[in-house]
Amino acid sequence: MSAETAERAWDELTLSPAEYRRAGARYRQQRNLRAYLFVVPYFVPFLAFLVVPLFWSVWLSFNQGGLLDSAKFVGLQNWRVIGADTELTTSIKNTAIYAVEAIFLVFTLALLLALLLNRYRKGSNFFKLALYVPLLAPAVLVGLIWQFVTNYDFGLINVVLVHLGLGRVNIFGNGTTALLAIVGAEVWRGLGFWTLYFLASLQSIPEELLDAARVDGARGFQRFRRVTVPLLKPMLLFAIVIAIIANFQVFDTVYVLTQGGPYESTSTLVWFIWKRLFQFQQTGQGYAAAVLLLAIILGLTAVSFWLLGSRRRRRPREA
Amino acid sequence: MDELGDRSQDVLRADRAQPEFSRRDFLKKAAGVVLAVPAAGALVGSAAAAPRIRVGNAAQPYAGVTLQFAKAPFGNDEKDVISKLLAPFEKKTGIKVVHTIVPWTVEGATYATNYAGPNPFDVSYQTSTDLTGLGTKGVLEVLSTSKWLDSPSFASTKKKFIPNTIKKSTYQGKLYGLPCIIGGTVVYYNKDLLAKAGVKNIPANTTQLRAAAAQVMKNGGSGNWGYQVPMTNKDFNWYFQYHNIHNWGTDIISADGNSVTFTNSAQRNALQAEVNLFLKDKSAPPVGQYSRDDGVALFKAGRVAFLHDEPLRLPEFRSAKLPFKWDFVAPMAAPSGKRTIFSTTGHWVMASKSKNQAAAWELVKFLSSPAFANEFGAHYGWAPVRSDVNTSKGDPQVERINSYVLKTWDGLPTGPKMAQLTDVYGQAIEAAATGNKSVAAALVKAQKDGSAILRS
Repeated sequence: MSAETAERAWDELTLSPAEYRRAGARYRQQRNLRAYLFVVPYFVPFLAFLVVPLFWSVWLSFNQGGLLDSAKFVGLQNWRVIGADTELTTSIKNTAIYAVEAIFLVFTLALLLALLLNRYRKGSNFFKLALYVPLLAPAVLVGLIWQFVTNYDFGLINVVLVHLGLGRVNIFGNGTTALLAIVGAEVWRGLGFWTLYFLASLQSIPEELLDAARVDGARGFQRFRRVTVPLLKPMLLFAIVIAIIANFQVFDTVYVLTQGGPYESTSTLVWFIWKRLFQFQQTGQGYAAAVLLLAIILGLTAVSFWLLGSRRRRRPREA
Repeated sequence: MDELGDRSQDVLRADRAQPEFSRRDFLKKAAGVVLAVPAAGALVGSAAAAPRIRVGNAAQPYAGVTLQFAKAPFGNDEKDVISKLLAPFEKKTGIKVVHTIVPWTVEGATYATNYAGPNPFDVSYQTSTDLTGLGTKGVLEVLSTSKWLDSPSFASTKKKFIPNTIKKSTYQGKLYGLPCIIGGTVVYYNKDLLAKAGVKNIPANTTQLRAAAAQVMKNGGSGNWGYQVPMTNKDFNWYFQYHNIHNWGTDIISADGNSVTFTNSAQRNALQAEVNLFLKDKSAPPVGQYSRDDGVALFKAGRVAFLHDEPLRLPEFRSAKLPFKWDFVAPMAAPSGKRTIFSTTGHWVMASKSKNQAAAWELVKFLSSPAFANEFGAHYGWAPVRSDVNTSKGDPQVERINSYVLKTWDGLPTGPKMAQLTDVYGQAIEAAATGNKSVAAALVKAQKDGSAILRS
């Protein structure tokens, strides 16, 4: 093949800029289409079971009925009614107190257990399994177990208190202790998960950093405070976001143990919603409270992410 | 070979002797067979089926109909009890009844989701707290029409209902369910414990009960209690207080249904009488210490002198062969002497979307009839709502409950927001009985919350 023939063949093979753009667009289109096809199995249920019900719930919060009878637009009436309902403010307050107590307790205990399991590996598999089992138990079973734990006459807590010479406590006769019982049940249930989460986080910390700190003369607690905790912070913040979302939706333990009593002291937001929707058939009010819960969770999540983001943004400067 | 050859030739000849069988003939015959066989089959089938259909129409007018029936149970054996009692009905009508147990704890959610769907339970059981809430949403058939309750064929049966039950269950002229049972509450007492404490007379009113319970606390031995009644909202405390309200001459809602009446003096006195047993005398276990079932267990263990609970405990106590002598009386009167017995009313309802309403009405009528209600009421200790129903079966204890109920029953006024109002009242009882609020303050809050509910 002469050089001239080869050049002509090359020219024929080479695309003009316009052709090149078209081919590129075609390729990107096909690539995107393939990507969308992969997303479809997730996206369809996401639309059907989350996005559509979400917007439908928002719409129904401005309507009366809609579950058993046809929806009737009532404007802001449902919002006004739940806004004036003292049980709603009590429920928000209870949920917030419960969430703070539960998250603080479960994180503290889980971190301690994770540190122990990280340090003493012998037999750790057994303890991991033992800690994880409560998470596998259905909420109703957890509630029943906790009815035995909290029983006035023979419950574990009161038996221990009597042995300590402190006397029995009527746990469900007092708002504070009743809420603490719910916290206890949820902490017991969630402890295994969070222990394993923190254990995995601890094991991701490079051993060299701890060794270096040790060589520099840092003691155990100093290493924990100066090396472990700063490196755990991103995981901790993520855990807080997840825990807030989960704990603001507490319902099943409340349902089994107290049903919001005594005198609304364990009434949580989801319990409030459940009562309006299913016990009183006030669907509009139930949807309005559900939308409010969503807004609260979104707000708290946004704040948490902002905190997480701000840490990340600051890190280069700190370095 | 020859013989064989000869015969073969004969066969061949014989074959040849057969008439010509053309393709057209074959097709004609095949088509004939294709058409004739199903036709003959259909004729034979219809001939065989026709007499059966005629017989079915006479004996089983609803043969092939399946009804979905749902009920929150009065006991663990209820499905078997109902199945046994429905067997003759199913045989007679040809209706197959599929029974779904709806636990009391998820009753509201189950019915709300079920009635929202296209195939709701054809027949279900609803108490007066839920009846009108569901009825006014249009999911229950209005029975007070000429098609059902007011039909000429039902006129003679309708006359047998205790008028007050129909009246209490009717909301704005509409009745959404056929009253079937009246419950009531009674006060069981431990004769041995009372004797030990030196209580000679069984109390008849709240003042006497207070004195007797205090005497048990003083002389009945440590670890024993004078009185036990469900007092948490979780255990439907309002249900066990409502007779007090009626006895003191009031209700939680005005007669016209337009306002709540939590703050009158009668209301305060009624609640105060009960709260005194818990907070002043400490004759009853503190609220929250024992659930309703725990309280019953304490009574069965001989540790409670007076137990306020439902008559449905009767078979339980009998079968348990309690190690002490016991009996029961009607709930305590007010000091004025007015003594009523309270319960919500049970109703059989039909779904407005039921595809088999005629069959459903047959089932409702049967459930209400003596054929079902005598035995069913007797088994669980319910009082009848019809003069031709007798749930006692000659049992003197059940006869006594029935006589309390039939003479002094005063039920819950029905309304679409009664479930919310009773919840508000339950919260007030809980707040007052735990000492979290004074009786007056708890009722003021109930008045405020109840008024907001009625306005919404």
